[in-house]
Amino acid sequence: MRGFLAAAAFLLVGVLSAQGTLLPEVKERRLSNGVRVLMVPRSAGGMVHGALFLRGGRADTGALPAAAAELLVRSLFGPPLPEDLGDGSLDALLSQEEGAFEALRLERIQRGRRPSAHANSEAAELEAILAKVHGDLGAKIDQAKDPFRALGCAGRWTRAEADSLGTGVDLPFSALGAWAKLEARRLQRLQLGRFPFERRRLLSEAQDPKAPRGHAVLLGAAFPGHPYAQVEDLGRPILEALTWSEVRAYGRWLIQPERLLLVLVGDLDLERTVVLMEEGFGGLKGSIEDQGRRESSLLDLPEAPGARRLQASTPDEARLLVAWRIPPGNHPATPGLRVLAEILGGTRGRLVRRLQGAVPLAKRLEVRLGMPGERDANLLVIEVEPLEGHSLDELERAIHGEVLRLQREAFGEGEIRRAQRQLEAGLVRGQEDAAELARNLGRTQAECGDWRLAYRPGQSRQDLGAEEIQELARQYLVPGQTIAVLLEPDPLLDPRDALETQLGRALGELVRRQVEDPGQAESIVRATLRQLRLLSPAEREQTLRLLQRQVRS
Amino acid sequence: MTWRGLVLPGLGLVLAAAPPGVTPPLVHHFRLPNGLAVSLVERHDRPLVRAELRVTWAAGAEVGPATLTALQRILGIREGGPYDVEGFTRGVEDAGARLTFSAEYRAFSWQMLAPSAEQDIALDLLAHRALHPPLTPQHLEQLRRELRKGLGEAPLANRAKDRFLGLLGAPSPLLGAAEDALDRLNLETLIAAHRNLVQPAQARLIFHGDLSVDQARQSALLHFGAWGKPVLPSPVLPPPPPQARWVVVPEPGRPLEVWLAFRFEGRDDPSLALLGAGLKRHWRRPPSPFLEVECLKEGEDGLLIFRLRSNAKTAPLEALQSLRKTLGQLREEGLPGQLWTEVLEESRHQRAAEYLHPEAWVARLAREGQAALPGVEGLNTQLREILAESNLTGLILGADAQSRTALAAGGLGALLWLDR
Repeated sequence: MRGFLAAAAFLLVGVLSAQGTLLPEVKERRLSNGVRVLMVPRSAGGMVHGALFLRGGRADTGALPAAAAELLVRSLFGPPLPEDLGDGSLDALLSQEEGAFEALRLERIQRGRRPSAHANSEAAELEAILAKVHGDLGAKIDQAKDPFRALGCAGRWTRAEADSLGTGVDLPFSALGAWAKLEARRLQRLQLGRFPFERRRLLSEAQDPKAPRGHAVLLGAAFPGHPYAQVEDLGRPILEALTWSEVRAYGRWLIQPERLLLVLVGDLDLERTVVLMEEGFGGLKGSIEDQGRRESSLLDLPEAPGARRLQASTPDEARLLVAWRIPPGNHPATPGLRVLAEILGGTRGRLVRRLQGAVPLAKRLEVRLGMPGERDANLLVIEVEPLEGHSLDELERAIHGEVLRLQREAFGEGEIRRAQRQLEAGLVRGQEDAAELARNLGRTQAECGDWRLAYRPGQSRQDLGAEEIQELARQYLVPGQTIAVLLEPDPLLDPRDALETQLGRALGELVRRQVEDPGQAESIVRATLRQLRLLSPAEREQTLRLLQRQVRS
Repeated sequence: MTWRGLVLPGLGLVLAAAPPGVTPPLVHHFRLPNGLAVSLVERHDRPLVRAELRVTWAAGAEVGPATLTALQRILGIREGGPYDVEGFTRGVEDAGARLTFSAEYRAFSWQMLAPSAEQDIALDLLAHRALHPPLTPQHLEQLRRELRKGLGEAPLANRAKDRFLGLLGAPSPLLGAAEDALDRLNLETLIAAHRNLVQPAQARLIFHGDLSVDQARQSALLHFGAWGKPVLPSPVLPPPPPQARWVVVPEPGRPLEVWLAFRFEGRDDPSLALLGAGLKRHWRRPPSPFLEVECLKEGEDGLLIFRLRSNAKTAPLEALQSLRKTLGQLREEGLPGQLWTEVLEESRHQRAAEYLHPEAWVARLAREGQAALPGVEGLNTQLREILAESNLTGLILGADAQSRTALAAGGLGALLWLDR
């Protein structure tokens, strides 16, 4: 049986390379106003997945925070109100809401600065105005009939990435023309009628104490001074300070025909589709001049900030992120880096065997490229969660060891070939689902300028050599440029259970008898509690009993 | 019966349900001599084949939670037949395939996605994993060790909800088992459970992608043809007698939160999602006192579960009374035809959308087979059955002193108070 499998594997190598089937059959067109259209015809019972992408995302909001992109995409592509489609106007209502909300925000800030001050009658009036406007808008939303639903649209998704915004929906081909007209109308109108409610939803998500914060810490350390540093920053004060007018102005800048890309996958009559898209999106016009946001992407890696190691306390589970800066997605090194990442984190990758093999250290492992986007220099990130009884330091040492091996030692028989085949197989499998294919095409086109780049690892007729991979590892996975972020609940600020609280108390009592400086004492207790986390619950309880006995003596 | 004879009636049912402009792709259905139902959707525009094998078993089949938990974990191991972990992983990798396993309440599923040139190898791996799992003493011992690590007290925040789910009494493999039951477990019981539950007559195999009807039939026969009929049918116990129960957790000052769980044994019935969507829509319509309504589970544990949260302005008693009234009305009158029409239309659109997402479509075909969507009358009949008083278990979080008195005065059924 194994002989049969080995023979089949070589057959697969031949099949994939010879077929050249990795590239999906994409037809490209441009509308009269410059909007680009990518079409992938395939049988789907008369259904089509229609997606639109805008080049420029969370990292392209100029003077506004990244949250503006998130709010724009949610307010713009949710179920529309009639006014979003040009039937009447909500300008007066939304302006009133903006004024009241902003005045209340400023009032709260002032009150925060002068704790003795009480809420005044003006604030109560503003609250009442806000409640009334929200009530009126809420009633409109409740009564509105979703015209997209009436067309048979289902499965709407929206994404605000670092370098692109996107939305997509499944619909019958017979409704494609009407869909295009509706989408174009709301892009042109930019009413954003759901803005106050989407802001409220985002605020409640931002307040979730369990929301992961690790990526924000990592990006802040890796990209000082670059917009990528802020793309995960969706804090409450930032969201509250964003106004409807600002997000709308940002939308006006962003929504230009040359930034817009349409991706259609499914049962398409190509010529008819182009006519329908022209009728829908062909009338879109650019409105204002560029406001100096970043346009060019540097192909070379900018100067690196050097190795960094950050330790942060988070209420969620312990996690380690180890990252290196790598060049943009359209750089010639990217296919090789993808193979390298597969060698480390693929199904039978080196890190998988080391961290999740016979003696497992980690319960989760992920290796990925393109964080947070691929338009500029970005990150290759290894993210791991330790198993109970294993520390983040232990994982960090294991990762470091594997990276050094990759740079210095010989590769196993067929290791590179296997990794490359895995990448190719993944690229073929990723074409099965229409929405996944559309997202991959749209995102790559918007970020790297050519959708074909998503399929580069599979287009090469030859396997990469060991020297090439090692050279890439030596060039980019440089120990002196490693950024490591260690996230775990602080044992003193955020004890993970009642036992840890008791251990902290007992240890604190004992340490304070020997150490006078309270800062030093706290640091000793913290370090000891971290070590104690590696023990089993029974051992920790035993330790507590011992410590308590010492405290009493 | 001929191929055509099998295909056309099914197509007629689906056509009736399709939205305008949509022509449902042809689905071929056939059965192997051992009773395994096989379906195929031919798609030759991508060099890929997807397959799903789903096995379900009857309510009350005589398998305890410990056996089920253990069996589920063993089926999750990436081994089977002649393949050890290394051989299996290498096989999947060499085939460029993806193989997954999932367990639900009274159902196991194995999924595969592979390049069409490799579908035979990938299907061989899937069949061995499903039909010849590693039921050995070593695996059982390792399993005991792993399961014990997972046992213990649930996190504090979930304790009330866990208690609630525990009261529902569903022997879900996902809820785990008691430690002493795991100690008593032996290999013979596990082997018998696998033989009894994983039977061809209770399974469906769905293919989607780049293979012809003949290829699908040959493939199914090659890998599943020798899967034997069971000597004895799986014994079925009568379900426990239903009894309405309410768990109340008083927490004055917080908005009322109500969890409702309705027993529903036909978890693969296409109407289940419709009933969930209909009730959710009904409870959200103004002037509902509930700000948020979520349908949390549709049939996974043989239950339809909702969570309703009242707005801060409505007193808990008022919200509870409104809920009681609406439950009574629904039991008598059902939901309005217009609401069902909207729900059915949306469901048709969602089903049509699945033609673009083979994973979801194949999973639905494996779950529902050739069952058609019910009509408004049928839905209301099912709704009344589900909403029967004795079929309901409820959890009330945030009841205050006033509602306590009203609740105690009767009307809801058996009450269990969990005072803090």
